[in-house]
Amino acid sequence: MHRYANPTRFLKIARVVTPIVALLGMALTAAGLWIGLFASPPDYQQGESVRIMYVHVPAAWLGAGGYMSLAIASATALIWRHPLATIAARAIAPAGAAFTAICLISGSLWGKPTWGTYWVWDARLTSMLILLFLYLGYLALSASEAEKGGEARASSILALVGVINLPIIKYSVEWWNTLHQGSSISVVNASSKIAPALLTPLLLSVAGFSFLFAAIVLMRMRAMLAQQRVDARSRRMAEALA
Amino acid sequence: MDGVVTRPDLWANFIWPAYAITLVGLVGLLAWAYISMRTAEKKADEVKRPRGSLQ
Repeated sequence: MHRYANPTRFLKIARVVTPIVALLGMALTAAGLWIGLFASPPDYQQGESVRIMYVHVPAAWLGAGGYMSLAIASATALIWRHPLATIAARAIAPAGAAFTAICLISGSLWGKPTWGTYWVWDARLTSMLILLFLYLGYLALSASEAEKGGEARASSILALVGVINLPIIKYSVEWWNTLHQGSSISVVNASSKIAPALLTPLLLSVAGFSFLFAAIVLMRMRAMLAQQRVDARSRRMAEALA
Repeated sequence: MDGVVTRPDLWANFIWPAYAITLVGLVGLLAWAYISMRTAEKKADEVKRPRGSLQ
């Protein structure tokens, strides 16, 4: 880990990896959504509306998974003060917030034909909305810290405190009586209740969205590192002139 | 393709709006990340090697 925490080494690897990850993401997402829309059968219970699953589920996984990586990066920044950890956290946050927003909007559009309503204050929906607020809070706080030029201490602590929401999201459908269905895929047991014809496009779009998420994070990290170089150079020039 | 796009069941079930919002979000996010990266890296290169410099 320490070996790759060096910004120069990271940039060298990121320049090679970014286009590969972005292209893989685009290809897999296009394949998953195309099969999901045009080649997969409708669900026996939900009919055509099940096709929203191919955008909703990957966005939900990345919203929650993205927050977990934000918390890990924040913990790394707080404990080991890795130069890249804060940058990684700041790069993950906008992508995670966008995927959470996509999950909430697509879920609300899925709710109308399935449940007859766009929104209910159901435990799963509410905990996902709280996740979006946590992301927005982190973004506001870290932007303010970055502006002041200080360390990302308060935003890192906020990111860590917010982790408590992740098990609530995961188990909300078991702990409370919710409109939202229980999980159909178990990563732990590597099992699924979804028919293969529907599972294939879902897994393709999950993989595609994940690669796109990684590409966005890498590009944001490269942008922030470049901006740091510009700022450092400007400071050195100002000091030399003084 | 035309027949699929105009299928009323896909409109009635909000499938097209859900896909459109998702794709606009994804493409927007990718474009923003790419443009901000290119702009920042260009600026960093210019600062590192000022115009007219032979270094």
